Amino acid sequence: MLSVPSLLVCIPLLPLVGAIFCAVFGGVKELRRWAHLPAALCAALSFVCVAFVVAKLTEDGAPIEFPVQDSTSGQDVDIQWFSVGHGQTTVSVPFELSADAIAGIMLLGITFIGFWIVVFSIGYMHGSPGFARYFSVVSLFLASMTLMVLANNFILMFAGWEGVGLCSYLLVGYWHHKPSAADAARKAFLVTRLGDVGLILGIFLMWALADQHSFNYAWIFNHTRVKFEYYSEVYTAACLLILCGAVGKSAQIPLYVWLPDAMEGPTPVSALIHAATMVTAGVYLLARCAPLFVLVPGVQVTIAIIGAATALLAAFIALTQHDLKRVLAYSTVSQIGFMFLAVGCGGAAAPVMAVTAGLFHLFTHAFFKAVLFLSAGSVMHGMHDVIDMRQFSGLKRVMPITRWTFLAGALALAGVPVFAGFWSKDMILETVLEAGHSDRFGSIYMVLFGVAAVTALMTAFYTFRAYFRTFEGELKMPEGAHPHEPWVMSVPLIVLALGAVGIGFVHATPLTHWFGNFISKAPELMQANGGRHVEDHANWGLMFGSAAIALLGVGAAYYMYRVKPGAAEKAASAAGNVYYLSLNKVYVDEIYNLLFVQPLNLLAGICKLFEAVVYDLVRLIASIPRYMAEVIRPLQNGLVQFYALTMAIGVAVFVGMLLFFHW
Amino acid sequence: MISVSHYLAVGAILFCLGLIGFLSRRNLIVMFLSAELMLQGVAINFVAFSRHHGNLHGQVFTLFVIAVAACEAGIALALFLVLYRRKHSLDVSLWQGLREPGLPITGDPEPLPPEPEEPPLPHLAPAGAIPARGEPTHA
Amino acid sequence: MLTPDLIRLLLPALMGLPIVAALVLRFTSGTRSRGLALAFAIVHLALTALVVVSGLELIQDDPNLSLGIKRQEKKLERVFAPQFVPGDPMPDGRASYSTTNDILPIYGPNPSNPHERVKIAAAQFFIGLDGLNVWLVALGSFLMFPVVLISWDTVHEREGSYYAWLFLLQAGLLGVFLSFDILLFYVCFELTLVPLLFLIGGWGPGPNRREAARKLFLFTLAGGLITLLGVAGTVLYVYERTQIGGGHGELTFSIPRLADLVQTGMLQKSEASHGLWRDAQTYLFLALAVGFAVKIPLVPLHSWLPGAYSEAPIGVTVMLSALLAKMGTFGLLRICMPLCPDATLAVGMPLIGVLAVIAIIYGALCAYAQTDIRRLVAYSSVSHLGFCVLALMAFSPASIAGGLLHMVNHGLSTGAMFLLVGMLVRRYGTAQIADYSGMWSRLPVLTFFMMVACLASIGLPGLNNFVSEMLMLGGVLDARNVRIAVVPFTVLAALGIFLSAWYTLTMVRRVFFGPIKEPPTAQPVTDLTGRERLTIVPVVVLCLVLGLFVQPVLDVMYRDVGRLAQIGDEARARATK
Repeated sequence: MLSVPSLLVCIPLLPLVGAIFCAVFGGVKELRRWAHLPAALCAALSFVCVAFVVAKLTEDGAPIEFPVQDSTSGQDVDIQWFSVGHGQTTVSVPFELSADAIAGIMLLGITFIGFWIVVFSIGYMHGSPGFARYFSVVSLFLASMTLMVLANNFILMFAGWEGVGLCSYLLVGYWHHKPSAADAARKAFLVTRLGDVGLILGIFLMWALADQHSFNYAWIFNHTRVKFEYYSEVYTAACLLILCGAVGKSAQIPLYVWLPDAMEGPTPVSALIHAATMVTAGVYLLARCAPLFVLVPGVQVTIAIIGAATALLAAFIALTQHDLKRVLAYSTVSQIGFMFLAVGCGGAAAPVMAVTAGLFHLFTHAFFKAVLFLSAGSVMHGMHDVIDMRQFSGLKRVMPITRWTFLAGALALAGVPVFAGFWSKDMILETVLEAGHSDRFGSIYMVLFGVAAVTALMTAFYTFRAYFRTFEGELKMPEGAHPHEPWVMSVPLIVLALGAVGIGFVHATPLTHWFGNFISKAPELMQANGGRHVEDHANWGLMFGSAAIALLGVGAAYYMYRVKPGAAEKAASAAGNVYYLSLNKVYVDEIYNLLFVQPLNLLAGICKLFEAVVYDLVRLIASIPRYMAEVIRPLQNGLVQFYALTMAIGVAVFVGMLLFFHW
Repeated sequence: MISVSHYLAVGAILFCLGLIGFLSRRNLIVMFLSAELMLQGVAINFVAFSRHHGNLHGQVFTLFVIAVAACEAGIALALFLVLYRRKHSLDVSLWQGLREPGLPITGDPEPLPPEPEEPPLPHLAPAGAIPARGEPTHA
Repeated sequence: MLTPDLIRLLLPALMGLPIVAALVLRFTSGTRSRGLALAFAIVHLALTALVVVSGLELIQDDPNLSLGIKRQEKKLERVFAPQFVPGDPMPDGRASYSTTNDILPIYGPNPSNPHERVKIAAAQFFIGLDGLNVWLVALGSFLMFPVVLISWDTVHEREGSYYAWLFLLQAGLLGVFLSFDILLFYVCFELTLVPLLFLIGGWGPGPNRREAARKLFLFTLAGGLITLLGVAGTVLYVYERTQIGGGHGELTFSIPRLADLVQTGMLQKSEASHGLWRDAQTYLFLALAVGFAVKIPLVPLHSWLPGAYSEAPIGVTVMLSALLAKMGTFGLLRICMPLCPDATLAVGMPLIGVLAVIAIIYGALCAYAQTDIRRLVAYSSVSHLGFCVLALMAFSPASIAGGLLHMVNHGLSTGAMFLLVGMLVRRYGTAQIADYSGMWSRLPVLTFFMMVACLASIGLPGLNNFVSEMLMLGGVLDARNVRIAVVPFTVLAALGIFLSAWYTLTMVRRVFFGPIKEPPTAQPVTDLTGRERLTIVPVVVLCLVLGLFVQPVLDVMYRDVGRLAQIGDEARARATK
């Protein structure tokens, strides 16, 4: 009989087993074409487990723990991964899982979307070399991601965190023979790794503050709180370092540059990893660590500023991109910026509200961004791997299902009322507004609110720019295009599109409050909240305003790309350098190259040079005896009588010294 | 009265003569003889001290020295023979093979003029054969 | 499973079998010798496995020992407790943690009766297993198997002598790990040099092998001689100090005894001599550390390394990186730290620690700039071992355990990388990164294993190095060290983790990703053969196993690590007093 806690283990374990089976299938020639089966099956089963777990969570709200602590015998039932130390100071990482409301929401999104994306991939990746490798790594990804979410301590979480990074690396570099994909994979791994170094340092600093005893979340939250008064600098530094990890993984300024490049991977991967799940891990981390961050308002504001700035910058770049996937990629960066903005309001606004807003947007975003990416993938599949929007248009006639699903996603992303994105974006704006009323940093939050509003407008515009250019207008297709929509790809599209339309109703503020109620059951959030009252009221003015902004953006796009076809070019030339700034991604890659990559290369070069100098120095030292020997070498001239003479002189000198100097 | 110092003086003179001979002559056999001379100088010292101290230690040593010198002479002359076979000369300066690689050979700044070729020694005819007239005698 | 007495009997065989193998192999030739060598390696591995597996329980928890002291008590009765010592005077499997097997007895006047001459000391054949060396011994035996296999078709001339030297090298190596007598330790430490000199100078593939071998020899010998000075100094100083206050003076070469004497000597003497002792320790520590630092190598002393690693035949490179470098770190652990605990705290962290941090960063940058894969891995080794040394110098339980585990882990991951590089070079005859591209498409199996090895090397969770890196980070940040301002060290070390990913993945990108470009070869290149798979699979599997199921390994080493760490704690207490 499977109890719910043991189901918890199944959630990461099943995809792991799936990954192994996929790899085994890939190794056997006859089974290779069935390699998708284990992945899909295990993802589905994993989702079923999650459903049970979430059902249990909604029932009583208490977190589910694995392994179950046996209260009768009083002994700790723990499965150690590694543990060293005795008494108080230990570096100990037990294999402990726990699912609370935050984890439950994350898991729902990951496994549900994960399963449908695996199904979609069956069609999308059909006939590709490395079919089995693809499904194996995707399955491994699901395992790592669920492990990350379920982990009950920081190191285990970090293990999952690194695991998803690895899978991202392998999947971005899936077409390993393509230089651009290879570069993108390396870049993705390295940039996130830079953040991860910060994260691991932050974790260890927190561990050091929390009496160096445990990495358990609850332990650290409870014990660092006490130390905060004495070690506020260290505490703040640790928080900033953890933020560093989140920034790297979630592609925020200044480490966002890897995400647009990561679009080199297969499109379902972009949907799963680089839109719906992995990149939101940073938001999850911040939400998880809310009890830590709530003590340091300065760091919170930093998070909010980073989020807002990223949202604006990415939206600005997305305005002019021609590559459909890149538009979506920058849009992802921008939307995660929104989530950061929301989470960064905790403290100024009620932490529960901030985290709920962030996670809600994360949840809805996962659905509509997944469907957008998959639709883009469907387009790419039909258009013979062409994704440049200048090369096709009017696809609604040949790909009707894709058109409708993309439209659903676009409406949700733009924040048009009743679609999923509307509710969550509205909640974020409300949270920021609420934070704007606080005493400390209130004015900053008000500015950020303005930024968010502008970004929302831009979001609606670029989303529909992409939609109109791709699906509306007259039919135009590149060479070799073969538009088709196999059911194995259409069904996931439709399912996810329904999600994009309707998932917002889990927390449509005046109507339903399920999501918020569910999330606020998480004990850590309650701890962070510190008993602040949250009233969940509908701010009608804000709702209408946000709807108006969305519609305005959609309308502008409609005007520019449907009504007056030349308007876009005119606007571009009117904007002049600003247009090129956006088109060239604000030259951030070039600037980073100049500021960081080249100096590092130079430094490495200098080290190599220095190495050569040291090498020669050693040779120089080694040559000293040789030169000394050169001086006395002629004495060895092979002449017997010369030797005899030397001997005689030596004896004479010796005897002379004895005689005359009385030595 | 002949004291021990007289003997010692003789020994020293012998030793010095030997040393000078060893250092200045290039003929291997002469050098060897000089070395023997030095040994004899030492031997005289031993004998003189033996007499002086009234015991036989020095005598024993001297006997040893003489015995060793005899052995040495045997080995040395055998070696010289081999060396002579190689280069047809007893000049010690022809043997500098043990010098450091790369050093030039130490030679005479003014080498002696080459000795005139000596006429071949007459060969006697084997017993019982009549020597031919007017022809070189060697076969 | 073997009884303790049987293990005691078999333990010398761990050292003896390679020597026998060397003697036998010396008189074989041609392909027969490699088969024989493989057989010897397998037999040795089986023997080691048997000894280690049956010994684990006693090493982890010796009932004799736990009776004596309690962990919680501040005072430590015994520093090292080697198990299964051959020649232990106590019968029936009980242990006195000493031996009676003298090699070189030293006679002197009897203190009570000056006219009588008695044995006052002896260099002993004192070997044993404890938590510190058991895994290194296992590694030293295990790696011989892939080393022989990788040499299988890379060594074609004078095979007999090659394998003979290789086994002699292993004998010396295991001697270093096993010995508890300081002279035996030193002899074995230096003994490894001779086989290395001949192996690199005689069988290296490159034209500069002679110079590389000579350089390695001179560097290590010079360092080793200074260490010898330190060894002699330590023995004599302890002898002198035990004479203070009317004692007879105890001349001993046994490391456990020396460590105990150092501990008691530090605790009981007067304040004035205390300060003197501390100064002496500093010099002794520095002298001892030089030889080990050359062997590891730490940064200013590393210039023998790139040459030796890239000029040696690939099997020897694997031995060098995976095992011989560990002799240095192990020397720090076995000799420097217990015999000079105060100096380790006083100068170890500020001096050796700083050098280690420099090694981490500098090694990583140099690795990035290399154009030759073997050199790249060589420099990465400098970087990783810098981490290990830093952790050892931090002198806390987690850091020592992490450092020790990292020695094993680094041996496996770097060993695997060198093995794979060797396989690549065997196919194409060049190790230049620029000559390759897109090897993934050409050699997918090799690429798979290389990926695993690289990922292990950059510390990905689930693979072995992650665990040890976490332990080391935790240990370095331990509160005991806060005084020494270790936070910058940790930050730089952590940056080293990033840099390691940087250069490793850049190499992977250049060699394995991208469109196919391969150096010209005579015949078409095929993927890994069955024998090569047999070579690499065990190593990679161990990487995975040690990444996931590492707790038993840590449990076995923990008792002795804890003891060592307690020496550090006592030294800290003295320093603050």
